[in-house]
Amino acid sequence: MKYLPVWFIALVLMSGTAAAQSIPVDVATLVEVSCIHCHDAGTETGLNLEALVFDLSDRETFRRWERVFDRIDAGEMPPASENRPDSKHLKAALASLKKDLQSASLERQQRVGRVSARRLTKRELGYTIRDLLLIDSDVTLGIPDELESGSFDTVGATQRISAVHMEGYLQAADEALNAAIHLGRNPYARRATDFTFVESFHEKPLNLGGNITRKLKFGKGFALFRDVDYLTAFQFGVSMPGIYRLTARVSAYQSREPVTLKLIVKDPSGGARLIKTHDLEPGSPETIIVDTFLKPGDTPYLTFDMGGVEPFTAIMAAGGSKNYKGRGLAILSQHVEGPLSETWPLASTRQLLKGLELAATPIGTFKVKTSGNGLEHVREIIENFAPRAFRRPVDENEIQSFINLARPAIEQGRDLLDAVRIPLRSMLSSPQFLMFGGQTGELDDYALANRLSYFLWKSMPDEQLFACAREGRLSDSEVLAGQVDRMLDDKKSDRFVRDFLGQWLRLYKVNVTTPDAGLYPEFDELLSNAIPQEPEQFFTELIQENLSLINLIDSDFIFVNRRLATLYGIPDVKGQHFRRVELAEDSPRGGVLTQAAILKTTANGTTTSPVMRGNFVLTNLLGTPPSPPPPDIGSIEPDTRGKTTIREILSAHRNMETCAKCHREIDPPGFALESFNPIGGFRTHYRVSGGTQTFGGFTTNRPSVQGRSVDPSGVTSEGKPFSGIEEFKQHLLNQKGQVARHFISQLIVYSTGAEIEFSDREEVESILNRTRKNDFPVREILHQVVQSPLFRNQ
Amino acid sequence: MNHPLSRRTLLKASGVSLALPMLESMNPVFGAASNEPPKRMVLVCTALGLHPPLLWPKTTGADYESTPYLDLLKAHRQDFTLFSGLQHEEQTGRQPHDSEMTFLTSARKPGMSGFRNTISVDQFAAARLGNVTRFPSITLGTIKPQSQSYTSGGVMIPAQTSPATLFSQLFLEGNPQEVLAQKQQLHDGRSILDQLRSQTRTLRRKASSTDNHLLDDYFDSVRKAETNITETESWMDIPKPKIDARSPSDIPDHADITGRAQLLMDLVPLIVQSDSSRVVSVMIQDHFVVPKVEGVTGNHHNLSHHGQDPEKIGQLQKIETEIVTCFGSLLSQLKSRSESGSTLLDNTSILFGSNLGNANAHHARNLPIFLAGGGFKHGRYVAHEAGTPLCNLFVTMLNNMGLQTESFGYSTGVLS
Repeated sequence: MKYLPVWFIALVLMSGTAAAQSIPVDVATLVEVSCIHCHDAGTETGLNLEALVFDLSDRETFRRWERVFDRIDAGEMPPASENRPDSKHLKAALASLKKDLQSASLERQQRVGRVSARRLTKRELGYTIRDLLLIDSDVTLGIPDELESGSFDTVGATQRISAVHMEGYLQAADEALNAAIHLGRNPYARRATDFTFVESFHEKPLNLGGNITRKLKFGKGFALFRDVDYLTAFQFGVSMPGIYRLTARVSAYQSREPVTLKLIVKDPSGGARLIKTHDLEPGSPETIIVDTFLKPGDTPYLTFDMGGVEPFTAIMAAGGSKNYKGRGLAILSQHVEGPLSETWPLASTRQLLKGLELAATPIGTFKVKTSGNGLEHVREIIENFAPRAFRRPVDENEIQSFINLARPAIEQGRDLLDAVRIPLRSMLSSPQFLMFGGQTGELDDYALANRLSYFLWKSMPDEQLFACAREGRLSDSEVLAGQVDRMLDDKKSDRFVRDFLGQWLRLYKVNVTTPDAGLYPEFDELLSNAIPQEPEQFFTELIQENLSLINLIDSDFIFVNRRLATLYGIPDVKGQHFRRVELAEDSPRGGVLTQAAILKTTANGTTTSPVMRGNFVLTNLLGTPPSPPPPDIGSIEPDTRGKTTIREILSAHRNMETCAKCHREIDPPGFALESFNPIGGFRTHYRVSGGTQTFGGFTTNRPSVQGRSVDPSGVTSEGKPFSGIEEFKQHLLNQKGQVARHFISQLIVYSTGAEIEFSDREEVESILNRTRKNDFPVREILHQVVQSPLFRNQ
Repeated sequence: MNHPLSRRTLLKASGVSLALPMLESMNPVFGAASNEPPKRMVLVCTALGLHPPLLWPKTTGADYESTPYLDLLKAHRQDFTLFSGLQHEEQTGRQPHDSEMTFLTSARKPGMSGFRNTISVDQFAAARLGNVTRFPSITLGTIKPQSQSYTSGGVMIPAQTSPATLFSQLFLEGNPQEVLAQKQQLHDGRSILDQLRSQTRTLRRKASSTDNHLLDDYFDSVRKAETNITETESWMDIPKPKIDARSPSDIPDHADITGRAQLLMDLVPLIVQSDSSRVVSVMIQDHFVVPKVEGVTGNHHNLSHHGQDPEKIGQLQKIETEIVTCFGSLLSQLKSRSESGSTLLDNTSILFGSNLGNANAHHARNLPIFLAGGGFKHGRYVAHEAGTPLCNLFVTMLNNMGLQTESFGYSTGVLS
């Protein structure tokens, strides 16, 4: 045996008894020969091996050795400028380090479980309350948003609970119960909008907001020529939150092109949401029916997309709206009915008060008929509610403790519903409801049902899944697979798609910036509404058709509606609904990177940065994030006056060796994506602002002008040249295994709520290998993840 | 508009501020124990920064030469100090605007893997003060619940965006029936929390895993929420301060950034003088719209990425002028109210600034920082060495409030 180096002895002495594990000799030798002269006490790097003990039970120390392993294993260390270590020694050292890391990681998992306790995320809580209580309201507004932690919000280690949460939970529970229990009269009503209000505007001067409508020649109704919100409201007072049916008879007016109808709901705080877009082809009127959630104060109204043309001067020139020949929206009738419910009292009330008789009074309201023993009723309600809320069987002690909470109120003679709200609110704020815990080892059937349900539905199990758990069948692999298929085919799996993509591809941030209206006037409400839907539709197709994950890098098809197809320059797409379209041979689209949602998320609204986009490709798609920038380096200051391009600004710092090391990897994908502007349109030239003009007191943007040409070429970090996005994608296809590896890892982190640890890597590789044959089919990967021991164990 | 006391500002503010003189004599809370008015802290952040060339003077000291933005505050020249060179370290976050999260906390690498925020200076002060006021702290925002106030666990405290709602919480008593229902609700809440606490204790004992941080969090939160309820209950028996001001009307228009910010600025003197709270944070947020400011066609965020386009800088200046003017009006209102021989401004230190030093480049260095009031000696522009911790100023402000502390966040001392 080789004698031990001095630093090593010092290290063992220093760490004393804490270092139960001693550093393996092979590793010590490698460190001595190849590492220590840079990574000693006087190091300028972040790693001082003299001070690093080999106590792998300490998490931070473990992570440092894990990193040492990874960098040597990847061949990044020792750097190319140093002597290569002897390959036999290197292999031996890596093998022994791997073995120790592996067993330390496994030992920890067996001791405390792989997954630490986690709670429902804000979104999961919202869905769960809706599914549990059968209500439509979102009651989670008072609960803090999830924190930015650099990982999924499902990961327990980074979640927090504060008094702000606690107060939010109590408030949410209260609001949820308010929404669920209604014993008043059925407020259902139906009201048609009468047009006397809008008629008073037909002839009013333009500057008073009038003269943009006119009465139709035949029959009732009017035509609208401007996209405004104050003339076309559905006249209806929403009495309670619920689903309402909006019906309108409308047609395209004076137009040879389709006119796009927009149905918008304004809320009392000044916000508005677009809930429906629909292309009206020229011709006879159509009846549009939309069922949507409304709450008191909400005002739905109809309008249309003006296609960027402001008809103001044209109306003036025509001598008023009555002679105007431009296109518009004809509204023949509109009405609202609701709240829609199959029964009254609502299903939510009946379910919660199951077992109690609800008797109608002569004035149409309802009364709870009680037998006299209030606590018995409380018990009945709680016994029915608790197992669903806690998503598992609940024992008598637990039931009793909640019943006791209602006792003082019952004894004081408070109303039964008043009294039972106390334990119900408590249950909805309790750790049993809010958290997932569990013992280490294999998940029992209920815990498995929960993990599966929160993975694919973001909510509690439904009755069928509960039944599988109750009968102890869910842990059977075939039953489990059957449930996965059933759940993926259910509409509720949309929640998974949205939430997973929202975080993994950062699509929740897609509308954080609004493009500069002077540079990108074509970015309108329809486009901003369409853009986020594309990746969701695309990914859903990969799941539903079990298509290869490689489609994320490049695909022969995309999902668009007419508005998005216009942005992409794809002809013959009619209507505002999304559908699959096969791409032409020479299209630069295909894959996620060229989807407007990604391109917009990775730009700042005004300009694009190859650094932001390159970082996205490395971090989010490949899972090989570059080292973070040096402290306080900031980012480059964009210049849109058109004299310099972003590439020229960047090239200055690529020429500095300290920056170049990382930017060699970061910049190339970003360069290839320079062919796409901040809203996702294809470009050959940059746009430069044309400034503004002021006319008659109004300031407007002048059209932008053409700037320098775009250079989307580059050289990959492996030294392979590419001329643009098409060739770059070809290079990226060589890394499809890495894309799949990262995807599998992300699914495991997201669904189990814990990061990938060293000993989990083997399982990731094995899923990778099992699905490689068919080029990583997406649905198959989802099945494999659910079947894997990582998913099925705590 | 380039004067802070223009007619428009006064008109906008009049709804509430005209009533202020009534307050002093009616204030029920402080003054019983001593005649010394309490010290307060107000923190105002404009999240999209201030265009540096229009802000920074070329010369330092007491006779610094003014700049376009400082011209707007001419009337208050002796009431504030402008600092340069201040910043938090390592603020390059995952998203370019992540330094919004850390402006009042100084936590490093916002949003990066493993990031966890720390307590913000206002919450630190509120925790030290305890429940001496009806509201330990008040957190306000112009449009959305996002705030810069974080608990010690790094959880954001949602901002109040409705001045009308806040006004009614501060000053309006509900009808007796409502009050009774509210008390019942609080009482129920307390028994719920009490039971949850004992349940959690049992669960904690049962849980096998060593990683119990969530249950610990939960347990602490329940206790904290219980304390809060108890405090709220005891404050319910104390009548709210009576003021002769009408409730402000909320402005629904998202584009009216100035109007919304001004309403918040008008509330601050009411909060402070009625001693409803001694700690207030205000965030003037990104509204994602073209603001209703004459001559502005671009949205605020995009204009902040002006790319050196003079046209855009011109528009940006118009928006920022309005915001700086709002700050000026806050100073005017506080200066014109007296209490126990001093002005409200003397007893209130106000920090006004931004988490961005240069929004065009998204960097968080050399932050624009004004300190006003608080009884400090003002009237100067002080250029600190680049990289001086902003936390040093936080420590100075905390000490000024009588909350003696050696350090806060990444401070290295106090700012003289």
